[in-house]
Amino acid sequence: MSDFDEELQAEPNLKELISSETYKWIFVGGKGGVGKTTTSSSIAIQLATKNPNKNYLLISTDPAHNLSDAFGEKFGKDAKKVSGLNNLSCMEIDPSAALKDMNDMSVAKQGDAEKQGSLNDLLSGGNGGMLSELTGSIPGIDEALSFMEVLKHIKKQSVDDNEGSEFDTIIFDTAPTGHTLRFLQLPTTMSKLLDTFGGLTKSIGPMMNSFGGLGKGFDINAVNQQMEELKTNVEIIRDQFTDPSLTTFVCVCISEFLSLYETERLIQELNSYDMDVSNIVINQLLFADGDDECKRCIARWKMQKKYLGEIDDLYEFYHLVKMPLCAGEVRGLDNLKKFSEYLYNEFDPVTNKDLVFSLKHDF
Amino acid sequence: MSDTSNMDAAAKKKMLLREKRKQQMQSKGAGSNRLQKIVGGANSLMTSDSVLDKPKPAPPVKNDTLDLFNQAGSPETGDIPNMFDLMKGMGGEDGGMPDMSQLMQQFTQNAGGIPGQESAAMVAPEVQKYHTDKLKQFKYRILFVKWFFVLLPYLYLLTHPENSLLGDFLNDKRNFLMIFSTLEVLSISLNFAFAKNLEQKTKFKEVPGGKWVSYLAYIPQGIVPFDLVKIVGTAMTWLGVVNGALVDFSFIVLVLVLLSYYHV
Repeated sequence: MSDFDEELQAEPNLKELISSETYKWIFVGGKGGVGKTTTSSSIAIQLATKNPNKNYLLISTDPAHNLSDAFGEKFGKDAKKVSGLNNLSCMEIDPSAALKDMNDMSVAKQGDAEKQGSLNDLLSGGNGGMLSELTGSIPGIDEALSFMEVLKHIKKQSVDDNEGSEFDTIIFDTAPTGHTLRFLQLPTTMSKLLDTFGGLTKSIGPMMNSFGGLGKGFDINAVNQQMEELKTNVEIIRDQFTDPSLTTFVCVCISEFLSLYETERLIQELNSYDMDVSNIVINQLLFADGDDECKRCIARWKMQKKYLGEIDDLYEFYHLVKMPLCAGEVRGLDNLKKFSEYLYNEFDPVTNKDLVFSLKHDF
Repeated sequence: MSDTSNMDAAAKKKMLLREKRKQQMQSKGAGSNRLQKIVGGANSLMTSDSVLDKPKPAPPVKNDTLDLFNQAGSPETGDIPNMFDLMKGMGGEDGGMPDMSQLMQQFTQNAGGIPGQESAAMVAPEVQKYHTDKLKQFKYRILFVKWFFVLLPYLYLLTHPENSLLGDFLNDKRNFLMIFSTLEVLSISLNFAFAKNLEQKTKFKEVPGGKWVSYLAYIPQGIVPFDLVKIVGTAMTWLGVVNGALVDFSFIVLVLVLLSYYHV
């Protein structure tokens, strides 16, 4: 291998990601059960501890939220600081609560107490909160609401340009692969839809305006303004998501066939969206060389090594971060802090083997 | 200085790595080759078709219709815009709103298309207008000829049975319904033949019953257990035929009333 090729080797850690000054959006995703939440929480903790002057937000877009469990404290739909870390907040998006919020906001805007009647009842309690349950179960609603959260932050950035957004970087703990890909397609899909809606409203708009005096509550000018704003924001998001200096996707996998296969498909899909992928975290490695007495571990490690070889070969120019399978669960801030160190400084199975058995178990 | 040069070196390395990753993915067949490598190594039955080997969809087309709408809905004007001036800017020289069904088709095509349907080529609004106008023109010409060159003289002669122009068969009032039905069938056949001929030229098929029937296509499949559009379309076609016959019959009644009133 030439000197140039040696220099061009990507380091097996996330130092570049964590030290970066430019990232605004970091997605962490992969197949189910590979350690996305652990990895996204660890990345968020490393970002927060290594950059104390910046603010970070970790959002879970997985309908089966795990963040509260990972940190050992309850998070909700509003960003809440993590106990023990002043510059890291977490958020778990709840579709029905978010929809109720939207309704409350729009009712407050209209300022008409009568209108709070039926829709509010439907969303909150009336008829058993039927609408809330119904809308909460629409496929893709979590992705749509996560996207709205992104829109909110984009809007804040453009409005408060001098002050900037409340958070410097937002980390997404994403749902398993399919949901995430749908979410990432939203900017392109919405952009196309808004373009076509523009055409529809062009033909309906003047007609609706001429009937403006007949119907109250429908202001075509306001709708047009909102659509323009939405279109602008969606295009900003699309541009930011495809800018490798602003957005990156961290793939998490384990060293097994299905996970490797899905990781490759995910990376190819992300490439087709022009999204940057430069980091891959390989979790749950056994490192059962040497004097390990467990025959099962040795056999499993042999299988993992086979796929590790393929990973090294396929992802030559990616930052491959190899993380161990610990004896205990990586839950709670202390355990996450210990674990997350080895995203920054690569884990050595010989010198760092204490990590495997050092995690606290008192939950 | 050394910090800056380190940063530059790091940034350069980052860019080079990105280029290398892009090269890996962009070469033809790279995606499926990589998947095949993974699948082959595990003796798996998973597919190695890659999304990277599919042609990239066209980027969203910038639509400046919103600009026109901006003019219409501008809050500064405060006035209801002149609808006719706006409509002049839309859909061709004569003005007129663009076809709603065409816009809805565009909507679904841009959003990914209606599931299960192949995307049809879009017919220009001018061609659609030409098609519709041509059909109407032919229909009204046939109607004019039918009323003033066939029915009117026939009815006049029928009320004057002493005439020698109509033969026994045509003079017989008992055969009127048969003759009228034959005339209707002929005119309908002529209309359909003309419409079919025109469809071949313009590649546009008018939905029977108007645009509203075409909106039924947007009801997701499975909600109704039959092809709703086809059934409603057929029903609307028959309704058109019946309507035409009723209009002709009304004309006949009117002529007979006038003939008897003026003792012609």
